[in-house]
Amino acid sequence: MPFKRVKGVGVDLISLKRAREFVARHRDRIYDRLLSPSERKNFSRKNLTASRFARLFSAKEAYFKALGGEWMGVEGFAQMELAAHTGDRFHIGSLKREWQRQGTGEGCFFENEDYVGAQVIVWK
Amino acid sequence: MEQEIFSKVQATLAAALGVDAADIQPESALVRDLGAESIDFIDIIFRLEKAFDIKIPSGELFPGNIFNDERFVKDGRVTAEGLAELRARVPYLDVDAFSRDPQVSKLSDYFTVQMVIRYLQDRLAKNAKA
Repeated sequence: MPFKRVKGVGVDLISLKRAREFVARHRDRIYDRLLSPSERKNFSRKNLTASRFARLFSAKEAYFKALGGEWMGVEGFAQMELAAHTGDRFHIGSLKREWQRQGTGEGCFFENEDYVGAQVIVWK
Repeated sequence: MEQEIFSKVQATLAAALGVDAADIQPESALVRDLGAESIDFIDIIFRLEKAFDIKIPSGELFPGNIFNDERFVKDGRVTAEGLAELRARVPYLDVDAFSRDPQVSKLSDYFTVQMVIRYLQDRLAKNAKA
């Protein structure tokens, strides 16, 4: 069986305290502008918890880093979405064609009481 | 007007980045001098919207994924075409200064407080005319 080749690896970490403050201050803007349409279908605005946001944010950041990007812009966040999500594992892909060509990511979350992180591998 | 905008920007950045307002000067680079990370850029945009009662459309301030074409970057340096793209996409950036040593890795050094002020001056002037 041929080995898969790694295109990129990305890791990101966010403090839950920061996530909590961010959601408290910008809940509506986060929901309307950082979530993809499918993600908004998965939970309501009031169910946007700090933990949920931290997972979404760290996964998207990790995926973009795996693609070799510098900064995706606010618009970039809404153009990525978590696909399958079982337990701590997820798939993440892009709604943007040029990123789709680079591949989807497989990832997992890691966390403790203070931080949430995600690591993503993008395969060639 | 510029001083008024600067004072408000200073207060906004101080709150977003958890730094002293006195450490925030027009020439301060958001990443290099003030320690901004990705989430901070989003926080700054959202806070500026509230502070100035405006909506900052995606891609207008701190646009992402600027060099999405292989013509724009070669060996880690932004090409002439890439600089033209930069001028078009980020008109408030000091591209002349960046072009003296246009390394992609150093672009974030030019995301400065002054860039934010220039953007807001222009936006507020346009809003006033409308």
